[in-house]
Amino acid sequence: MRKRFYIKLMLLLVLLGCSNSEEIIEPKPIFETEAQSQTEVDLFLKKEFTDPFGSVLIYKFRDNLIQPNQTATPVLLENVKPIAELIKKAWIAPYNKASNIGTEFLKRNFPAEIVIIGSPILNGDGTRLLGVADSGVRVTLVEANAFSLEEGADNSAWITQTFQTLHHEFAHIIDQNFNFDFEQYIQISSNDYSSPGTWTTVSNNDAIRRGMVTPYGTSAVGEDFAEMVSFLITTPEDVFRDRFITLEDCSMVAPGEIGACNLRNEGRQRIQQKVEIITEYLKNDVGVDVNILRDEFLSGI
Amino acid sequence: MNIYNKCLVLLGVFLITACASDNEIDPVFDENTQSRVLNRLSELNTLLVSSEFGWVADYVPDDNSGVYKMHIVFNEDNTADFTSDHNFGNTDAKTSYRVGIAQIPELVFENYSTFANITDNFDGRTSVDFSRDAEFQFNFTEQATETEIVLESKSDIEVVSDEGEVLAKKTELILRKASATDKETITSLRGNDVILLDNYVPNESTELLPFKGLVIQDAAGDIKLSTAYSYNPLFRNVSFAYEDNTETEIEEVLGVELTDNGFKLFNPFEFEGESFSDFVYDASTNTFNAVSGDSKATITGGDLPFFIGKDVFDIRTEGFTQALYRPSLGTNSFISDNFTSLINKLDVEFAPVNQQFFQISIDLFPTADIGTDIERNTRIGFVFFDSAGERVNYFYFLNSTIEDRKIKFDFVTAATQESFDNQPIFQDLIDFFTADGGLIYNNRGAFSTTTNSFSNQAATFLNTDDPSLGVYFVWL
Repeated sequence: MRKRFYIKLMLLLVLLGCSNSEEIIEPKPIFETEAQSQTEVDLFLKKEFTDPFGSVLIYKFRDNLIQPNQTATPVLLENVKPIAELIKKAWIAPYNKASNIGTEFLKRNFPAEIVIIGSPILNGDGTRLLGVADSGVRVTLVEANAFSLEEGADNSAWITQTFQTLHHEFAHIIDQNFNFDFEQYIQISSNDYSSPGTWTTVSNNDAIRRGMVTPYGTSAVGEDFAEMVSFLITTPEDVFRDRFITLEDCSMVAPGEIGACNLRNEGRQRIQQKVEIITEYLKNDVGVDVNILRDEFLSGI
Repeated sequence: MNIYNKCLVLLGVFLITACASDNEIDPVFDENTQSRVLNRLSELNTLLVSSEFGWVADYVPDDNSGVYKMHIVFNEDNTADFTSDHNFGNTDAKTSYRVGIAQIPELVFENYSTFANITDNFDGRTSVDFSRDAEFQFNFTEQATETEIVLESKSDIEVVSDEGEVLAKKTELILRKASATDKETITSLRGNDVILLDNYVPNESTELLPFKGLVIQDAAGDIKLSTAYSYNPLFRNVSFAYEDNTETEIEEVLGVELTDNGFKLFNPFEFEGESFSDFVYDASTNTFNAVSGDSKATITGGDLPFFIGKDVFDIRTEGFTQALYRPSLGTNSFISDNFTSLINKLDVEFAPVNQQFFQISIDLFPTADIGTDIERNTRIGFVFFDSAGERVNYFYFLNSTIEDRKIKFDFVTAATQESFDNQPIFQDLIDFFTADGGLIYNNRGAFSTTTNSFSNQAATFLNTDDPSLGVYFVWL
């Protein structure tokens, strides 16, 4: 027994002897995180985006915000807070009102990152990106420097363009989180999506003929869905109805135009079908009333 | 030795070995990698913030650019305040900045700053292109002291030949510790670049002379060289176009640094052993003057071009036969406002008959070699669409010749009775083409407007009688 005691004692001494009390090893990140900025803008963003939604509004340029073959410039610092305010009014408030679970909806689905870029993102081939949604976690807004703070400036074109893009990108996120049934939807315009890279040659009227609200919508069924959602939210109801739903009186057009007019009307009927599917999906699967969403958006901008 | 003793001996060896902690070995660095990196970044940031009056820099984005004078104050809250002589200071916005680490320590101006604006090409408030790579990120070099910090562009790529020769260097940004007066000095330079503009006149009593050039005179006042001059405000450089004594066309593009009384050429303009760099502005004559030895260089205005290149002969050698000006293809800076006004008038005149202007065509008949005096070798057409979508043409015959490196059109006759009847409506445009002094023709490379780019070659006509009239067109 005594020998066993000595062995145990020696084992204990080995363990104690090897514990070097001079250095405590703790896991640490490679680089310490930046101290919480106390600037007015950063405190505002923390209060309005990070604390309630766990979302970071990124306005400080980093290389990894764009691809290596892309070029862009940062946003003006003075534009950040006004644009963030606009996001609150034209995105957060409408969804809070339109969702059947109120603020909880965006707490669950708000993107983890909203990136604001000052310029368009220019691709190496001369084309430009108007917005990006990455894997449901990041939405990128561009051309934020075109938003003017000058007194009396008319930012309506920028706001419309930007929030059409934003609601388009968020529609992708909604689809990713609430699985839209594309099997049914794609049947409506099944043969009318444009071949890859050719949507830029599609005119507005041709898009309507194909049952879509924009030429970009013809590029893929997912983009068709996102464009529909975006236009349903950002277009006044009467304007949407006049442009995309109400049938033209083809007896009033020139004889050579009657065929095209009839085709546009067929397209409008298909848009009507899509509106019904999307409205029902948003209402029943997502829990969002698109009519309230639209009205709140339009009153917020 | 039984098993227990063996175990005891073995454990004793372990104990001695395990506890023999050799703390006497000196580490290579006093701190671990993380601490060293953080300390280095902190040191660099402290250095930036430490300068009482901030930092100044002469920023030259690339070899074709002029000098932009900057004053930057780095604040404790990671914001930076800019004062520059660029764009009247209108784009000197406050920005946040980051001393961070990528592969090496970097200084990033994280919001839109003067740096970003200098390399930004705009259409209204929207960037359409970034000349010089939208440069606003820089890497620190080893040279960082209390008085001078040397940084390099992060976006530039150094190009080295197979022989090791550096063909293109990265842009260098050298921050020098500022004095109490540096900021004010830079502020005083704002707007001084306006006087460099081709169409600048100091006051209403001074006449706008349409052409600008550089004239070099010797001590006797004899003109030794006459060059065309133009200023590019986007790149802050001037260009001088002339011919050497072998009739080879030369265009020198030289960067400009603004001074309190004119400008300085970053690299001097050299001619026959003389070197001109410091140009002093004289408001009474609206001229810039520089002296080298007994020679004098003057940038001045004139009624006639100081230099006309040989582009006009390319019309013949390239075999161009039809030129089109079509507004629906878009616009660019070569189409003057006054010319556009003449076009707009056509739509007003033809609105009552429901005709809409479409294009101007210029046909150089291939059977009539331009440059020879063959009657009716050119036909100019004003093309409209009527309400049924049908084309309506109004044609006029001209004779074209080349004189003194200019193209000259002489009016011959209307091609049809309808053209004749409507000729008064087109007279201003016919007068544009048939200017007494002729039209200056310049090749402009591939056709490019705000809305279209084609591989077809484009060119311009500038009216020498009234240089406020110019048009850009495409060759078919």
